[in-house]
Order: sequence, then C-alpha cells, then structure tokens
Amino acid sequence: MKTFISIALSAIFILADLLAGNLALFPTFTVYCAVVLLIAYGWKYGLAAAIAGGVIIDLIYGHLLAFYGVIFALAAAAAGAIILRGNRQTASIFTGGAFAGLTVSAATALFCRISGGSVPGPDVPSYIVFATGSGGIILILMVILFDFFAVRANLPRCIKNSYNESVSGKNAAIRNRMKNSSRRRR
Amino acid sequence: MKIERKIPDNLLIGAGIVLVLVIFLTAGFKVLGFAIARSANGFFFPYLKLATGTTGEIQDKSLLSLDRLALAHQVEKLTNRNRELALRSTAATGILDENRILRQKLRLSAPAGWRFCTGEIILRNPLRFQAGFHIDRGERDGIAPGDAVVDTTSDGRLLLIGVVRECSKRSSRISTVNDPELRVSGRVTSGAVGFINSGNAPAGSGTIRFGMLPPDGSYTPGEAVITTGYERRIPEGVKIGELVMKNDFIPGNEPDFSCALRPAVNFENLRFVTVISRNGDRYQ
Repeated sequence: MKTFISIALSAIFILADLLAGNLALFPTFTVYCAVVLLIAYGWKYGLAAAIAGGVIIDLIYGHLLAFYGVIFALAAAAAGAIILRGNRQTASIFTGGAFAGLTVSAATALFCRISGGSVPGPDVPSYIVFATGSGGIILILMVILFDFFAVRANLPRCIKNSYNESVSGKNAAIRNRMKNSSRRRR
Repeated sequence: MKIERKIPDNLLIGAGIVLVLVIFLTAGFKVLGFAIARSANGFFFPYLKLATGTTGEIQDKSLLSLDRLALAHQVEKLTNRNRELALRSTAATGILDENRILRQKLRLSAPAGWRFCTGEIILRNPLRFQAGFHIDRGERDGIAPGDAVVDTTSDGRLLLIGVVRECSKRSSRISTVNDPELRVSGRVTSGAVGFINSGNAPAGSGTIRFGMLPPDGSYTPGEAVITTGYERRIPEGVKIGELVMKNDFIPGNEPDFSCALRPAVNFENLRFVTVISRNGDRYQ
C-alpha cells in the first residue's frame, strides 16, 4: 500500500511540475512530495520518490544528465533531516520546505547560467526568494492534506506518528524514572 | 525598564517581519505575475476571440446604419476594389500558365507546395524556456524533422520561430532560433546571406548571433533578416528578426562579418504555432 501511494503521489506531482514548467516555474512539487513520503514512510520511500521523480522529469525534458535526479535527492534528504531533527514540529517543517525550495531553485538557476540559458520572466533572486518562502508554506499544507487523508485511510501519518512516538517516549522515560526511584528507595 | 526594552525589540521584530513579507510578496508577484499572465492568456483567449468576432460583426452591421448616398459610395468603393483584385488574379493566372508551359518545355517537374498545420505548445522546459518546446502535433499530422515552425502577425506576415527537431507520432520537439545548436540561413535586405547562431558577435539578452556574412556588404541596425529558402523545408521570405548592432570589423583581419540579431517572435508569450511542411517533396 505504501509503495502504491508513493508511486501515485509521485506521478501526480511530476505532472504538476510539468504543468508548472509550462508557466515558467521551476519544478519543486516532486521534492515536497518526496519529503512528505520521507517523513511519513521513511528514508527509503522518500529518496526513491525524489530520485525517480527527478530522473523522469530529466528524461521528459531531454536533459543529457540526470540533473534533477541528483538535486531532488539532495534537497529531499536535507529537508527530511531538518524535519526529523526538529521532531516534526511546524517550524521544522517550514524550515525543511524552505530549504528544499531554496536548494532546487538555486541549483536550477546556477545550472541555467552554466548551460548558457536564461531564466524566463522574472529575475533569478525573485525566483529564489519566492521558492524559499513558498516552499515552507506548501510543505506545511501538503503535510496537513496528507495527514487528513491518511487518518481516513488508517495509514501512517506525518505528524501524528511523531506525536505518538514522543508521547510514548516520554511515558517510557517517566516509567523508568519511577522504577529507578523505587529501586533506590528499596 | 523592562517595558522600555521590550518596545524597541518588538518594533525591531515587527519591522523585520514586515521587511521579509515585503521582499517575499515582491518576489512572489514577479514570479507568479509571469505565470498568471501566461495562464490568463490561455484562459481569456476564447473570450477575447469572442469579443473580436463580435466587434467584426458589429462593424459589418454598421453598414446598415448608413444613409443611401454613403452606402452607394461604399458599394462603389468595394466594386472598384473587386475589379482591381480580379485584374490581379487574371495577371497571376497568366503568369502561372506561362510558368507551367516553360517548365514543360524545359522538362522541369512541378515545384513542391507548402502545407500548414497549427499546433499548441504542450510542454516547455523552464531551463530552456526560450530555446525549445513540445507541440501536440506529430508524424500523424504529416510533420517531419526539419519543418519550419512559424508565428503569424495580425497582418498575416510569417515570423520564424524555429525548426522541428524530433517527431513522435503525436508530438514534436521544436528548437527555436534561440537554441545555440540551430543553424538557419538568413538574408538581409541588401542581399547578403549569413547564418544565425554563428560568428563571434556578442549576443546580449534577447538577441542571437548572426554571422558568416560577407565582409564587403553594407549592414544597418534595424535591417530585416528573412529566410533564404536554401533549406529545403524552410520557405523563403519568412522574417527571422532585425539586426540590432554591428560587430567592430577591421577589414583584412576577419574573414567574415557578424552582427547581433533580435528575433521577431516574442517567445515568452507563445501559445499556438504553425508548422510548415513541404507538400509532395520530390527530393525524398
């Protein structure tokens, strides 16, 4: 089921990225999708979605190198690490999304400059600032939506899991403390 | 004292947040403004077309509101115009017959005609936004690699966008004149022939290089560059762009002359394109 959901979500967001490309927007939705899968299902699913999504976009655009495959994997891994380190709190999700947006937009602009192309429409700093800011907001919205449907489908979620884990972790710590103190008393 | 310290801190934080918001919203407006403009163009297209059609119909109906004398004047004007067009048509038919007879005498086969096919852009790579795109027409529609892709102006003139690079059954990849790998010959008004994306003239933003021109020719900024017809799948006389600057040429030091060329097409606002295919190509 996890694999099926990962493939279906990746396909939807690859299509969204291709449509965004027609409007001269850099592809970032696949990375956010990969980050959501990473924090919900684990590193294996997240990185696989990022690499596969990036490579498919590279193939469709006819790039000679798997540019987006590498960038998406790096961005998803970095964003996932930030979010997992931050205990999946809202601030850490925002930071992770912003970092992913920053990485992809900056790398794309750099690649564009190296390959002799030109960024369409607005200037490069505007793209990077917008991708950074919107990345955090979009990722939070995606996590909320993912959890909304995951609750109804009784599947692993992004935030609730961590809450349960942290609560159970805290309970275990309290139990240990109580055991230790009772031992000491004895 | 604590309250006095807090107020400047809050002000500073508030000002910082406002500054970040202003920067973000400005960047967002720039990025999304361009994207929204492109999608809005597509969204409003049918309505704009409807409005134009309605205006045309109203203009046609406006003849009914004219009085008898004015109407007679309009009819007379149109009759004269029709007569003039009929004379031109007769002359053209005569030339066509003469051409056919001469070809028969010289035993030349009939020239290939051109077929037009309109397609819509379905995919654009943001990394190569101005250098290429995909359209929804392919081999099934009679398109082949090398076919010319053009845009039409409101007065019916053809402007060269690029060339079909690859074809699948239902879609085609187009390389525009902004693609550094595309070479197409062009002729300036004075008759000199050069090639786009060649030469050593510096190409700035919105311009491409136009080189391999004869060094003894005269070139002026603003001069139109049209296709030569040397490429068998690109018709002659399609406008490529205009010369914008001259290279610093020192006679004797350079074997050829190169200029910067501003393409006639605005690639950022393209939505529909026309592919010109050779009809009955005798060379294949």
